[in-house]
This record gives sequence, structure tokens and C-alpha cells, in this order.
Amino acid sequence: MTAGYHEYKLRLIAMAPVHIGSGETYTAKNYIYENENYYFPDMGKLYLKLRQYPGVVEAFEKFLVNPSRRSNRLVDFLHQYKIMDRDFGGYKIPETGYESAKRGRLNEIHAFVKDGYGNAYIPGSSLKGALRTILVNEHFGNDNIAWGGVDDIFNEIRVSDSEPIPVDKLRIVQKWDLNRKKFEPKGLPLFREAIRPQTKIDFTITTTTARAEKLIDQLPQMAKRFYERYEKQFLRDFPDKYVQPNHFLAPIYLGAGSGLWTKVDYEHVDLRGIQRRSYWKMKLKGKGVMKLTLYKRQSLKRIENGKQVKYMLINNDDHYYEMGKCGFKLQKKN
Amino acid sequence: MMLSKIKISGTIELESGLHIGGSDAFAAIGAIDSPVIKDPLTNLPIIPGSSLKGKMRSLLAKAYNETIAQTPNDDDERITRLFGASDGGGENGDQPVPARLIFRDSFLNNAQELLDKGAEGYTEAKFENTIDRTTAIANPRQIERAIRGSEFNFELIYDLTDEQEIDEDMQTLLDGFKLLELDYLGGSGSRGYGKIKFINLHAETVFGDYDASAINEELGA
Repeated sequence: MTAGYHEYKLRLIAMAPVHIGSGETYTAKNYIYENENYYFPDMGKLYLKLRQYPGVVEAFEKFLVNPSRRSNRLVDFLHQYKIMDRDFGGYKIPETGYESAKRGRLNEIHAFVKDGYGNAYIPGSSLKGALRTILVNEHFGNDNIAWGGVDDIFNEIRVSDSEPIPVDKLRIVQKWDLNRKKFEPKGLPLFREAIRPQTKIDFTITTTTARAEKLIDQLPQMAKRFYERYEKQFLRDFPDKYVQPNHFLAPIYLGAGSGLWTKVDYEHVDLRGIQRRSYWKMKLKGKGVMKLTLYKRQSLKRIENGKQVKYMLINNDDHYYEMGKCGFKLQKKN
Repeated sequence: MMLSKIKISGTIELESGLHIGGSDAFAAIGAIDSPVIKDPLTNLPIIPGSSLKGKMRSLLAKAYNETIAQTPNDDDERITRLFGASDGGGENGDQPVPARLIFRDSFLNNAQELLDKGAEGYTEAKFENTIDRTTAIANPRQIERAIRGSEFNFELIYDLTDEQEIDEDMQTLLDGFKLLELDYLGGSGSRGYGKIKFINLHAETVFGDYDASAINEELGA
């Protein structure tokens, strides 16, 4: 009776920092940098706490609206008024030392998407979008795919939200662009909460029809083919040392900052249109820059023939990762 | 024989965020553009009986119907006698078929527990994007969801009018529960929303004298 339904376990392994945005950003007024941690308090609780200190509320309101870039750090404000409490709810992220040259002075931190309990997670909608990009390029040939009514292939493929990811698995990473001419990475004032490399994240994919099942069965092969296309179109223009190996995993890029070529339909992409439309500062030149981020060198460990084998995630000594790079394994459950 | 009414009750637990859409007539600019349906008195999210009934019926229709039904009236007889039809009943087949099942709206029953577990509210706002695959332009949207871990009380009344058919009816119902758990409730299920689980299902005869113990055995109560 439930024939036709098939379940798969998709295990995603972050091979580089991955960021899925919640649409919110933090400024220096929203976090406390102290003891090698970035502490993001619940601003509502913090405000309630401040009311216990005479005269501080007014100063705090002034601080919040003060546009000056010099005195805009929350931690300085708390020190100035000798406020030692730190029980404002919220959460802490340990620093890696690779965030920025200016320790603790980050602005514009983009928040990771979190569920109703404050845990991070990767929405099924994000993974499904990335899978769809692969299918569009390697199977359908365009994004003009029937939907609604009885012919709706992407309703027949259901991608669950991931299991909750504790916020202490998050780290803060900076955006670095690798220019095509000089191949010199350049740091940009944009920071993101990201899942740290090596994190394993499980999803369930359910297919409800035979044709959907057939597509998902081929997913790892198609992901590899799509990667080859990406390599040919884009990655090979850059020095090898910045390109991360896939090792034993099927490659996929997820979330923000992974770049245009991980998101589009190669046959129909309107590069001229994009170049024309983007505003001057962000102007896309040629095929675009390579998007990197800094994090300490890490490896994946796997038991092979009873021995532990280490696979280095990056090939450079400067700690550069490709933003959003992941690998996955797919296992059919029934 | 006499009419009996059997109440099947339990709990619906959300394993992922659920979105059953409500009215967005008063959404503010830049705020949630797609809210969930809520109880107007308590402002807590609810699961309307109509959503449960409709989803269960369409899933059963896919499983039971031998040919694709043009209208719900053409569903397999095992479905129409439980869910009703607007014709095909009576001696001449021109009367409505009364439904044996009555679905109730489900209300949130662990609101306090959710807050104790650290929830910031009963619903969450989820930011999503459509990325155009030719221009890479992102078109964002905000959707509200009842949060994972919410529990709703579930109640169903079964009118026992024909004792010959109760076993088959119960089998249909059990298949319906199983299919709903394998599928999703509400909107956007293909991208992770609306995974539900029925827990603590049990039956009790609330009118008449039918012995519900056999049903309970099947429900695993």
C-alpha cells in the first residue's frame, strides 16, 4: 500500500565553512567579545537586566542610536558601566583566530538560520535547491519543469530539514575574494556564522514515484558530473592549491557565498544580463571571482582496511577553503 | 443493530515545522507574508480537521483507487463510506453517502512545555529564496511555521453503522495514519515542512456498546 515511497538517508559532510542565512545580521552593538568567545545575548533580556542599574537605560539607548563607528562595541559599553552580568540568554561562539586580523572587531555578522529553540539547522529547502541545480544541469536541461497538478516531479522528491545542529558547532568566517588577475585573496568586511568543516549533517529524502526514485538513485553520479562541468567552466581558471579535493564524497555546494556557478543553469545563464544589472561596486567581471574563506586546516578521517586514513580538506598552507563546499553520501533505506 | 460511536484520539507531534496557511490580508510590509492559521482566541496555531481529512483522503485515494478518480465521488467505496460523497448513495445511487468519520480541529496542547524547552514562541519565521537559474537573482520570502516539537490533540469519531465492515474500515484508517506519517501535512512538504507523527492513539466507545478492544490492539494502544 505504501509501495512507491522510498526513503534515503543523505549524509552531508561540511568540507568547508557553510553558511545558510536567516536574513538577520549582527553589528558590534549586538555581541560581546570576551574570553575568546563571541557572545550573542538575547537583546530583550539584556535590556531587562540593564533596567536594574540606575541611569544605565538612558545611556544604553543613546549608545544604540549613536552612529559613531568608534564607540560602537557592546562590550565597551558594559565595561564602561561596570556591568559584570553575562546571563542575558542567547549563545556563544568560540573564536578560531581566523575570523579577521582585527580580533573582536567584526561588523556585519550574518546570522545562521535557527529553529524555534535556537538550534541551527539546514532547511530542506536549501538542500533541495542545490539538488535541483544539479538535476537541472545534468538531467532536465532547463529549469522549465512542469509543476502543480498531477505532473510535478519536484513534489515527488521530498527533502527533510536537517537534524538540529547545536550552536556551538558554528564558527564565524570572513568572506575572501580571489581575483582572477593577481590571484591574491582579498578580505571583505562581511562575516558569516558558518557550520565548521567536518560537521556531519543528516537528511531524509523521500521519493513517492518510480521516476523520482530513479533520479535520486543517480544523484551521486550526477553531482560528480555537475562538478566536472563547474571545474571546466570556472575552477580551472584558478590555482590548484585553492581547489579542494572531493576525496570519497559526491561534491555539492550549499548556501551563501559559494558563487554564481554553483547556482545557475549553465545552458541558459544570462551572463551579459547579470553584468549589466549588478550595481557598479559589485559588478561581475568575466566569470567572477573565486569565493574563499579562512579556517584552520582540518582533515576527514575514515577507517579503511582497519586503518585510519586522513584526508586533508585543503591543499594550501594559507588556510583557504572554498566557501560552501560539502560532500555527501547517499544510502537507500528501503 | 444500534448505532455506536467510537472515538479515536491521540496526539499529533510535529517532527518538522508545519505550515497550514491562514489569511495574510493584514501582513505588514517586510514582515511574514505567509502566516499560519491560528485560533483567534488564544492566537496559537491549530490544525484544522479539514486539512487532516483532505490530506488523508487524497493519500488513500492514491493507494486504493484503481483508476484515477475525476471527482472525490468516484473514489473507491472503502473511501467514500468513510469520508462521504455527494452522490452514489441511497437505493438509486442518487443520494449523498454520509461520512462515517468526523474529524475535529486539533489544538496545541503543550504550549507551556515548548516554552520550558527554550522555544521563543509557538511559531517561527523562515526566510527562503527563489534563485533564478539564468540571472542568479534571489527573490526572498518569509513563511511562518508552527515549530517542531509542538503537540496537537487529535480526535476522530467513527460512526459504527455496519458491524460487517468495521474491520475493513479500521484497516483503511490505519493505512491513512501510516500514509500521513510517510507524507506531510500542510504546505511546502516537498522541502521539509509538515512531517508528523501520531502518538498514543487509542479507541474508546463513547456511545453504544461496541467493544473497542480489538481496535485498540490494532492501534497498538
